[in-house]
Amino acid sequence: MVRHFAVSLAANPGEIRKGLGEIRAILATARLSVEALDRVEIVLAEILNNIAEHAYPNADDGLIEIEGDIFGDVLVCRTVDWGRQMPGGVLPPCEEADLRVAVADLPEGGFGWFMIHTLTQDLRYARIDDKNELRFQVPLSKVIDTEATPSPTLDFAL
Amino acid sequence: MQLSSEQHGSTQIVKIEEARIDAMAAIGFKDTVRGVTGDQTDRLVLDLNKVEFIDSSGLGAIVALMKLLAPGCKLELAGLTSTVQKVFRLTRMDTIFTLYDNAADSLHDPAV
Repeated sequence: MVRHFAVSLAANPGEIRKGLGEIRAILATARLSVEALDRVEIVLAEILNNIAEHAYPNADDGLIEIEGDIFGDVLVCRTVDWGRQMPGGVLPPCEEADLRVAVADLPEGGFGWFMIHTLTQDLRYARIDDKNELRFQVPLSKVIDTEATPSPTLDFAL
Repeated sequence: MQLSSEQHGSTQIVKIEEARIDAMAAIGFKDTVRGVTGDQTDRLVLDLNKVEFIDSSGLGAIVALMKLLAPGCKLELAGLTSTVQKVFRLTRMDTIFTLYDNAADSLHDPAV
C-alpha cells in the first residue's frame, strides 16, 4: 500500500490538472475514502493554482515539486517552487468572502486561501534561499476538526 | 468547454459536458456560456450533473457569469455532484444561488 508520493510538474493549468489526477490515482491505492481524496484534491488544486498564478505569473513552465506521506489518518504534504515569494514573506490570511452584497459586488476570487486554511492543519510557509516551501497536513478521517475551522461552519464535513 | 442547451420558454438549461471546472476550464467559461444564452432567456439553469470537480477559479467563473447575465437573466444551478456541493458549502456559495437537485426539478419548481 502506498504511503508516499512525489510528483513534479510545470506550473500551468494543463499540467496541474494532470498532476492532480496522478496524485489522486496514487492515493486511491492507499484506500483513502472518497471524502479524503476530494479534500486532498481541493487543497492541492488551490495551492498549485496559487503557485502558478502568483509565484510564476509570467511563465508556464515553472517547476513545482509536491511530496506527500501518509501517517495514520493524516497526509503530510510539502510543495516547493522557485518562483516569487509570498507578498511580505508570509502566508495570506484566512479571510472568508463577504457574500451578503449585491450581485455586482460578489467576489470572483479569494475563495482559494479560505479553502486551504479550512481543510488543512499546521500550514506553514517558508522562503528558503530562492525557493518557496509550503508544509501542511490534510486530515484523512471522515469529519474535519471543527475547532480548527476558522469559521462557524460547524456542519461541514468534507 | 463542451455545452449542450435546451430552451423551455424563457428558461434555458445549459448543461456543462465536462468533468472539471478548474483553472483550465475557467478560461473563457463565462463568455462561452453567455454565447449560447438566448435573447429571450430570463432564467439560465446551469446543469452541473457531469461536473465532478470545481476549484476556486471555477467558482469565480460562475460568479462572473452571474454578474454578466444580471440583471436581465437570473443564473441558477442544478445537479451538483457531491464534491462540487462540498466546495459550494465550504465557501458558502450555496447561499447565493438557487440550487436544484437536477435540471428537471428546475422546470417543475421555478423559484421566480
